[in-house]
Amino acid sequence: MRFLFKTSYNQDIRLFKDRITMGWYLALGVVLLVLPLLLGEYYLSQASFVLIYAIVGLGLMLLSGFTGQISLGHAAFLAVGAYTEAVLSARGVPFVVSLPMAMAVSAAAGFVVGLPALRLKGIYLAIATLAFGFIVEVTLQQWESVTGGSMGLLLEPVTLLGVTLDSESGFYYLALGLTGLTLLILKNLLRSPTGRAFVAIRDSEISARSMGIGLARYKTLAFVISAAITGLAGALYAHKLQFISPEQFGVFVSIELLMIIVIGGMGSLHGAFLGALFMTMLPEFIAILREYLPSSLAYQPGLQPTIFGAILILFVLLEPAGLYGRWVKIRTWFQLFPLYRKGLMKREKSYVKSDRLS
Amino acid sequence: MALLTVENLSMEFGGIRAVDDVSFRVGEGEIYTIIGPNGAGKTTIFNMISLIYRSSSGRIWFDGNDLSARKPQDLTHLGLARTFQNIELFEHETVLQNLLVGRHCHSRTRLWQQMLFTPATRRAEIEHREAVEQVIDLLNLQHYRDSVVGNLPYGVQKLIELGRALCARPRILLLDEPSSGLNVEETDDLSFWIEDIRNLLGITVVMIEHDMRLVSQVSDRVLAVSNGRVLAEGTAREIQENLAVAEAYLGTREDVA
Repeated sequence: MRFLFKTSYNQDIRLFKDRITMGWYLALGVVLLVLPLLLGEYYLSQASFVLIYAIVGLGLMLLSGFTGQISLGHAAFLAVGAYTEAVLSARGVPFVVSLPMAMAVSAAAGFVVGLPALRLKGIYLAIATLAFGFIVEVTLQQWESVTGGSMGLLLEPVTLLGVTLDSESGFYYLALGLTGLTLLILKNLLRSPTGRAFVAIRDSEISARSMGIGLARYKTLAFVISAAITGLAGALYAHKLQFISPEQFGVFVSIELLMIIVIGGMGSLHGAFLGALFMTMLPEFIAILREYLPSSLAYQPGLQPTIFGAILILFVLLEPAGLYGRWVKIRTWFQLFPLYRKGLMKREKSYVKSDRLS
Repeated sequence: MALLTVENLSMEFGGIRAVDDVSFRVGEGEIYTIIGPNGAGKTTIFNMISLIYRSSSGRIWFDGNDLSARKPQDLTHLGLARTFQNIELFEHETVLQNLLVGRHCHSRTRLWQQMLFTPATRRAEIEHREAVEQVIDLLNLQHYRDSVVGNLPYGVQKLIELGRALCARPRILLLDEPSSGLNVEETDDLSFWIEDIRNLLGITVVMIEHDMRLVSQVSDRVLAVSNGRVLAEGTAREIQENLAVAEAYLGTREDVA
């Protein structure tokens, strides 16, 4: 086990804990950069989807994992971003302008949804965001003059500063760059007063308030930032598929997005990536599984949702800390070998809850 | 001039008058204690001062500011911080993170600066950290700096809550039963800390407390309340000898007979 001796306050502030950690992340960065050379067209496309989902995961993680505000309507923000991008790019607005616009429109939607969040919490907030999801879905279906209704909209590949990114690898690098940027901004936020304010609201609203944190301001801010990030992912998603229609942004998608962060591990940025990876790979596994199942079972339309649901239940029951929590346990096991004990990660349950005054 | 003035404060919950026409003044540099039997309305008074409840009637003045026009989140900015009777910490975070939240009212960097983590943000973070370290040194929390709060013993958690309030560098500190759940030794330490907070940091302390030993050790003045009303005000000795206070706690002679 390594011990870290700290000699400067900067050590607690910087992005990487120490040089070894930094080395690992650099190695990961290099692997991600050369990935287009290693993977075929199809798997590279899947990698782009992982990145897009990871961006959504980061956005939702900020809101649910760090600020404690649940959202069952995040697919709607994805939709707002995707449709704004589709409409703008069809009118010839360059990507460098339309992408921030998509984020801004989505952020505005986040602001509107954030307003009831000031009064609602827990299950009630979940219902309110769910309703928002339905409203957006229905609006997309009915507002045919702009959204094309159920016919959907077609998009061209991204043209970035005169270069058309119509190859798989071009889009992959775009997604990778934007993911890295999002991650860096979130990481910066989380190590500064705003991030601490978010976490404070998650853990105890009443004491957050008495430490000078305005709930209205920070809850709204969390919704706005989260929606903007999700809008960014939406714009990428639209260009990736080059076709969007309302049913791609239904309630089931919102639940899938929530699964990303629950399975990945609530309250950790790593979790967003692990969850995104898992959720992209899962349909592949199910496709492989189909070949081995009796045909009466394999082609049931409910197979995929059933497996998704079962996995979510298993995670909540057996590993509430998600994949990242499991990874931390495995890592600790190796670090402490042979001293790891079974109950090491057990935490005392806290029964003092702060809901009584709010 | 009084730093904190409470005038004719009342609070009604439905038909119950939890606090009834309570007035008191706390001077700069005082240690002022509120005592009273359970359900006397002590915490309600605190919750009104910290604006978690809006008083039904009455006024609260802090350093010349009428608090009725303020919001709870403004108070640390004005210089008023509090702790809670049941610990209200951010329990999934480390001690350090908890204490840093106490510095929130002193953060001046803008959102975009934080997003980009500009040099100004880094400088501000290091300043916050230095302020936090002073509190850590004062309360001897060095060993716990990187521990997750939820796993720490109750007494330490109480101390961290006190520390978090101190990190805000308030002018007045409201402590709601700081010694509840502490053992005798920890309570003794606490009495020294409370005196240090006043003498070294110059912070005025208002506390709710049941432990009469602690109360008489540190308090300059004591306010006794019962059933939402003020029974008596005076030094700890005067209060202990006050007949009305004894009756509120123990009942009258007629009750026994």
